[in-house]
Amino acid sequence: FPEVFYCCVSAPGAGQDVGRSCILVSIAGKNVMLDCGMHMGYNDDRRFPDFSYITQNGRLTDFLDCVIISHFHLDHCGALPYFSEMVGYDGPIYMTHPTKAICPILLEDYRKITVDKKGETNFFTSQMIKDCMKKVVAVHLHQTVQVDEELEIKAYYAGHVLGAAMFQIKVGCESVVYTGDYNMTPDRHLGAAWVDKCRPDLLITESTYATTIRDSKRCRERDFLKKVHETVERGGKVLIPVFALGRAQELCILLETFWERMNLKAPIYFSTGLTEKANHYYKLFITWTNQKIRKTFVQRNMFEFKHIKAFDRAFADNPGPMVVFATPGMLHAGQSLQIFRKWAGNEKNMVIMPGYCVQGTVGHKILSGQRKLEMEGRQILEVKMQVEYMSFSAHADAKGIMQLIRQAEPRNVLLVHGEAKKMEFLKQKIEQEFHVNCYMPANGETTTIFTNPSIPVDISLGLLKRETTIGPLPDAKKPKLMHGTLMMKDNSFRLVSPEQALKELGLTEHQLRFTCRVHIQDPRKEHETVLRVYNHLKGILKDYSVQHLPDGSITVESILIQATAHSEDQGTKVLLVSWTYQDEELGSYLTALLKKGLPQSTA
Amino acid sequence: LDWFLDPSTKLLQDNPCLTEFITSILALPEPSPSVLSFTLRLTGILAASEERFHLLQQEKLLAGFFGGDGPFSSSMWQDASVRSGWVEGVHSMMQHQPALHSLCNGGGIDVIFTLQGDPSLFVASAASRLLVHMLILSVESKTSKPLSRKDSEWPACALTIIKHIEDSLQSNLASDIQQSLKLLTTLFHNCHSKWTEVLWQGIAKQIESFLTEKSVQVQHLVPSLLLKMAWSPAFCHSEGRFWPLVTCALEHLTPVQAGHLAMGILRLYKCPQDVRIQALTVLLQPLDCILRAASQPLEYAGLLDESVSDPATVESLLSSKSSCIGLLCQTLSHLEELMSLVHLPVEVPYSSLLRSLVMVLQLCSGSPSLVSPLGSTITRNLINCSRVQMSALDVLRTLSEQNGCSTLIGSVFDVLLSYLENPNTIPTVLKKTFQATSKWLVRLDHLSRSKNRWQHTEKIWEDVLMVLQKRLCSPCWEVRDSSLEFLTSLIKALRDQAEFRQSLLSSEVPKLVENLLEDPESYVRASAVTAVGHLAFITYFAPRLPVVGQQY
Repeated sequence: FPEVFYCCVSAPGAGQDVGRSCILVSIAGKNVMLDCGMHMGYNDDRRFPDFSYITQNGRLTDFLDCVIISHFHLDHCGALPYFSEMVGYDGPIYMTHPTKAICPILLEDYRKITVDKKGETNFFTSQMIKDCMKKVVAVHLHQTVQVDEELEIKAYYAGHVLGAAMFQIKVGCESVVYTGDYNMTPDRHLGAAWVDKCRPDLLITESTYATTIRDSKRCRERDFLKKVHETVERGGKVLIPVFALGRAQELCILLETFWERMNLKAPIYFSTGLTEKANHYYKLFITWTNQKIRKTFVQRNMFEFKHIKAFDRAFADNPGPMVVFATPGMLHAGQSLQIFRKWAGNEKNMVIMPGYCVQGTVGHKILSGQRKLEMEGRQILEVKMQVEYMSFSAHADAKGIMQLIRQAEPRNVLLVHGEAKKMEFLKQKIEQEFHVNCYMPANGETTTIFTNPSIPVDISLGLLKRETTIGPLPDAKKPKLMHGTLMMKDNSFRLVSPEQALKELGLTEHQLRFTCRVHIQDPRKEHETVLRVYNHLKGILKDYSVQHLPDGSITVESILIQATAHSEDQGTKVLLVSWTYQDEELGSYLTALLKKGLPQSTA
Repeated sequence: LDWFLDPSTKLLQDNPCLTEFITSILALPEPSPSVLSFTLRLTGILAASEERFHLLQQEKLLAGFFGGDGPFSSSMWQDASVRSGWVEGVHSMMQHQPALHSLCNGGGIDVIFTLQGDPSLFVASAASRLLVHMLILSVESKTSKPLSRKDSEWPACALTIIKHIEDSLQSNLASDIQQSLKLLTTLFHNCHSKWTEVLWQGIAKQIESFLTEKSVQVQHLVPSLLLKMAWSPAFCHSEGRFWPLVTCALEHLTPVQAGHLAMGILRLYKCPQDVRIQALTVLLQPLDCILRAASQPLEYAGLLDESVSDPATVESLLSSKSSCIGLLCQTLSHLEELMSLVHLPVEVPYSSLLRSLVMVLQLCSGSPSLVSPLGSTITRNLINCSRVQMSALDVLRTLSEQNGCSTLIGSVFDVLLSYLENPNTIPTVLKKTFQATSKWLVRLDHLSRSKNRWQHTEKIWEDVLMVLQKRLCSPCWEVRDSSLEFLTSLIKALRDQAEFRQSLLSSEVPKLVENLLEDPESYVRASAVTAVGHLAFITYFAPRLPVVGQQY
């Protein structure tokens, strides 16, 4: 059987290109697709990965054993309905319960912007999103899911966003862990990522913040609070468009604490749509939040704050400063857009975009610097308010990535989802500290990792007993050599006794004997020569059973020695030595010994 | 970059900042890979018009990127995005003869040959596409196309590429051969001119040897190549060696590879009938094998009278679990595709095919267990295999529209109902079962209306509605949703049918559907709204059922 098993990782999407994630892993003959993300920078077919690279002929359903989605962000799941309903993948898709619940909300939002607002065609429909979600098998944390008889997967907590998970993929004794996006430090509403010491052959980890260190998160938060504070102080209004289930909770808790500490009086509001939706899902998936939230949730809901209150439409026209959290996060419709329209004309106000915006949305336009927007009905809206972009997405930093490697103890590490230069730095650090190979494939590149799998072999009880009785007593610490016949059948290996193997295979046994003639100069009678040989061997081979048989032959274990006189020269005796191939070692030793001749005896 | 695809020729003159930008990047000792990659793409796009090409050349900007001073030897060439940018840039530029000559004379073509084996799949395949594009551009520029293999008839650039293809095909390395096969596949797909056949004559023997000798592992690429050729007018009319080669491939490829080729052949409009029959035989062989393994001696024959390749190959694939599932799923998906063709070019033995499908579905649910040695192995391999179940149900659905299938309608409903009733049926399989059942119920309705009315119709309706009631209450939202979709599709197709209306209204189904309007899952609520809308056709708008004892 092959000595080398390998797994390949190729990345139609991810791999040194922050855009979309889509990684293909082949492990012990099984093909798994990790994430099925969309590139947010394109607005044509190029936004989806080109799946024709996976298999040129043949269906994807036949090629792939399953698809795993790590979390609900569109750069990780945005191409899923396209893949399953338009490209035609019909196999199983796995994600966690919260991801399965929240994913369709984002996909539907995105579809609305693209099709209903921008009028694009050739895009997935609502029905397709639903049909796709119906193919999804939801998994629990730490639940081992058997995809088929050989392939199993298991989800671990990843932090990052509600429901985000890392996945272990295991076939036989080979395994891969894929992290998706994760966060190794607990934040205000989610816990830290955790994986057990599973020693995978390969750890595929994101490296978005490969060179950043933890303090930068504090800096960003301080920056955010400073900006909000300054605006409020000068009497301006702050609008923070958010996705209900993204980082909204985190920012609310951040502001609440700050307001408390600074004893600020300006009102903070959040739109009601946000709280209802978010509370529904956080209640449903309370086990996925951190311990503190879990405890307080028993007493009050996620949005019961001292300083933050529910927003009413009429409040937007109130004079004086205020801060409002409103959905949707990309300013493409609804309450956040309404408020934006009212406040945009005043330079004292500020809008802070805490997340990514899809092309074509008002959010994307103002972030790319547009100051004059054409609204519905050809109205021109002049944007005088300050526009700020601050990313609060929770990714592991270099320290966190190292920490995860220490936890999982992988044999190889593969970095995806980061910039090449930053990854190079991290790669060197990993190789130095952990002495493991670290790879960073380019987009479209295949990495092959060689593994040394231990292959389990069943041994028959009979053979085990027989082998342990021979030779010295078994020592548990030392490996023991077993002799038997290795049978391979239906992908399993068994070590059985040769007799049993013959029986099972219906074969007859052939005995193979080696013979060798040794000439000895000895004028004495044959039986005397035999006796001399017998005595000689008996003297040398003290640990072996040497016998002189009544028919005049000698045996040493299974080796037979007979003596005849040479037909032409009576002074020369011919010793015929014969042994089975199992005793080849002893047989060769004996012939070599006899070839040296007999000692000058006194017998 | 998309913006620069605008064909305005004055672009460079009107925007001198563009040339300034390119010059400044060229002057940088070590630009960042992403910036360099962008600039390579941009320069290529700009050089796509002949006029702009000359302008850029005058400014000596092209040589620095695509000529001898290109970035090949710099450390940045190690970065895949730079190589990818270079190939894409060259491809954009390659719209006219001056660009072609400048690249070929400057040695750029060797770089492209090397990039065919690039570690990045995207770069490698872009390089291959670029070579095809250059070959076509080179040959098509000549007013008289080459009609023979004589070197003098071919342009120099085309000759270089053809020589490269021929040399790689002779190589001992599978990777070299694979690159050339992929290149040829793209070529025959993109170009249908007569000269492609002239090129083919020089390599046909070599390709055939890959099939018969199997010394290098490249057979998996042959089906795509042959299919692209079969679509090309340059080959499909040919009296020559092309169709015998296809026949040879059907015989020599593995069943999985041959299946892909066979399906492609059956989609062709122009193809010799004997090749088609052979292709159908290849497709049906696995199911034939199962039917034979399942049947008692002489009970009923298999699907086929004779086979194309050795049946033992198929049998051995069916005896191992993973290859059995793989082969069956592939066969079934091809059959589904075949059944959805508007015009079937061959006669399909529908009734035996249907029997084999019912058998496969039964095997998947664990009954009956087959006695023959192969049969019992197949039973073990298929039990509870949802992948095969889904594929088989898809084919079963398409078969409902074929004539010649009505005799087995009883066993079809037996197996469908057993799937619907089985609590272990997973939601995805259940959805497909509902879809197939819906189609077969329509079929049943057609049969009932004809003279030879089938006696068990009523019982079937009763069972279907019973199981529907149960499934509408499933704790799993996917199941409730599929049940509602099933109901909607039934009403759409059969709302004028008295028997259906009567059974539906006398069941609990309408009440249950109404309850689902308040389902916690929004997808289910939406489906319930649709279903209730369609139900209204029956409950409110349909002609009243005749009431016993007229009151007027």
